[in-house]
Amino acid sequence: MLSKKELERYKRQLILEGFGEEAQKKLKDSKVALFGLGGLGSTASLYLVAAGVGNLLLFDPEKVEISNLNRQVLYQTKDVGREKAKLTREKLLSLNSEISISAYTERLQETVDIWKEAHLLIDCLDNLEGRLFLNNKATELQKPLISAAVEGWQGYLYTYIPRETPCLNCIFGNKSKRAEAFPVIGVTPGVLGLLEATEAIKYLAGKEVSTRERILLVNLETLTFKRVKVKKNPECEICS
Amino acid sequence: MKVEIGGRVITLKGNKRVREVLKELDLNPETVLVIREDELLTDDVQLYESDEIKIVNVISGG
Repeated sequence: MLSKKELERYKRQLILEGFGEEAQKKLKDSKVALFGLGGLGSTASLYLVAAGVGNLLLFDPEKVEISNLNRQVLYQTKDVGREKAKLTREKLLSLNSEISISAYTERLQETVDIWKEAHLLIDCLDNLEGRLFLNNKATELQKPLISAAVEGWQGYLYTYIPRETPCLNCIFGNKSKRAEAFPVIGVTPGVLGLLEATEAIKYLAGKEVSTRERILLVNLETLTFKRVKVKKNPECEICS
Repeated sequence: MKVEIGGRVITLKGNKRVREVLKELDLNPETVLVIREDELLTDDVQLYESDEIKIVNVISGG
């Protein structure tokens, strides 16, 4: 049941065709784990909370740096030096105190026990090594994983559903794991973070996602969006 | 075949596999994705002179 307050707060999406109270209740009852509170995570988390996802687990061990502020729009100059996870929790609760938000600053590999009960994982990390770790755990625990990455004006978005779709290792397993400071304009993680939240809301509300077995390649410099089919690697050591 | 990379289009002659195209263009397969029409290709896929492919960089930032 939605409360009177919730019916008022979510009024404009409750009247959306094919959404309604049933979908809103599904969002409210869901638990989502979001990894990385940089450019992607700042935007994705904001819209998940605004939409009424009931339980959100936030993971990021880092503190806010001045060079984050061109793209990590949840933070302000006065926030430099503060822990991103705890700060994000505070800010998101001031947007919507009706939901449960927990913040964790441990390293990703040490947090599995905390998020193994989540219904959906959202990858907003900034390196391929972490993404592949999440992918492997998602496979092991049978959790759907929405993943995005950005650089410059470009980004990608993909939804991995264990046992059903190719995994991230099928696509990126043989790619370079080098992690270094990458060039980026703030709007790129903004757009891709929004798209991650979009797919998450659709998935949790029981609607079909658009990046199942298709990776969305985004180029904001040319404003081109292309969905490309991906195939399972029959030799993938993770999902085959 | 026509190869689009970084906003430029290069023409290559003959049929060859994806890995051979990347070698000819001096590209490290670990750093790029290769697309034909609406499909992501693996390095062993055979390409033909009539194909049009696009090469994009692997990205991993957030």
